[in-house]
Amino acid sequence: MLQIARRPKWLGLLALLAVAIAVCLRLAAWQLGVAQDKGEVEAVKAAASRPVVDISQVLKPHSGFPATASARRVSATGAYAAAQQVLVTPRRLDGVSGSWVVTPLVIDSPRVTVPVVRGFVSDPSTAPAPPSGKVTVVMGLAPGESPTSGSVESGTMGSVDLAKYVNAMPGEFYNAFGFGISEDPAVPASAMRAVPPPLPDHGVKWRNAAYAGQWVIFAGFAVYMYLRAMRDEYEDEQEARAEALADKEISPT
Amino acid sequence: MSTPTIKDPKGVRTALTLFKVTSIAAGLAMFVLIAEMVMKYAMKNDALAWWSPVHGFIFMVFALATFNLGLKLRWSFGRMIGILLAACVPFVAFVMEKRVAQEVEPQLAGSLAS
Repeated sequence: MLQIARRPKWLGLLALLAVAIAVCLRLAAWQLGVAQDKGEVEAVKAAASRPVVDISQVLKPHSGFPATASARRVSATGAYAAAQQVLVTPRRLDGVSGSWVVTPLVIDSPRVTVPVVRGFVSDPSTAPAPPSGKVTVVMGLAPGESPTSGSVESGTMGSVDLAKYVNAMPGEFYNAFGFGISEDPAVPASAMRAVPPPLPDHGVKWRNAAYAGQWVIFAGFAVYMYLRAMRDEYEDEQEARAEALADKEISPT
Repeated sequence: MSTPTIKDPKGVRTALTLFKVTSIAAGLAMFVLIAEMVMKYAMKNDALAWWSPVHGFIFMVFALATFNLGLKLRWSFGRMIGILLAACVPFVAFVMEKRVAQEVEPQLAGSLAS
């Protein structure tokens, strides 16, 4: 069989096989990359470390939330609407059950509202009132959450459902909310703890992991095809040789 | 060169049957896929979205059947790949099925007779 492998045709096929394996493994690596969602996680991590800019440079009122805005840190100056402060519950922080304290920040110029997660409390009664007057907030942005129960008026909601604010407050809104990072003037210490802006979960996506496995199988199949075809040629030749030998024996010249 | 004799007529018969069944299945699956694409992109309807992986699986089985038959009949790699590529065009899978059957069946009959 080694002699067959050395023939030009089979060396050519070997080169083709090498290319096929390389392509399959590249594609497998690509699907594995997709499965780990590396690009997205890195982009969001990068966004979190980019310099703080004014919120109006990243978002437009009543427009969609751009994917690149996730975890972007922005600053906004305005006044908290204390009357519309809500507790979003149930939430967990470091294994503790509790609520997010979410207060709309009404930005003064132009006048646009954005809800801010000011912090986390385990006991709802300890949620502090927001500082009154003008405040500059640095926050990490996030897109609105899916609708659940509760309302702004009732003071409790199951999620940060931005549509509910549109019903409860006048004026324009950003299609986003923020995780408060710092406030100026600084707020006095309280039972409330800061909630770090979440990064999207980077669990493996199983469908893409399966595609990666599929590409490895294809590479293996290419190897199988190559060896199988070579073996067929070898056996054909052995048989032809045996037949020729037999013919000679039957009719010796 | 006359028609080559087939060494393993029984094996080829099975392989040919498998090829015929899977090529027709792949041909039909293609039309369901086209329906899915029209629904998805023209009507924004994802009702048939589950079909894509099923179609992929059927095509893979068809590819295996093609290689199985091709190896037994000592086809060139070019011919096997050519059949698979051609079968990606709607309707051509049926044409391939007919053509291969018309070519292989007389050979098979000849080999079984001898």
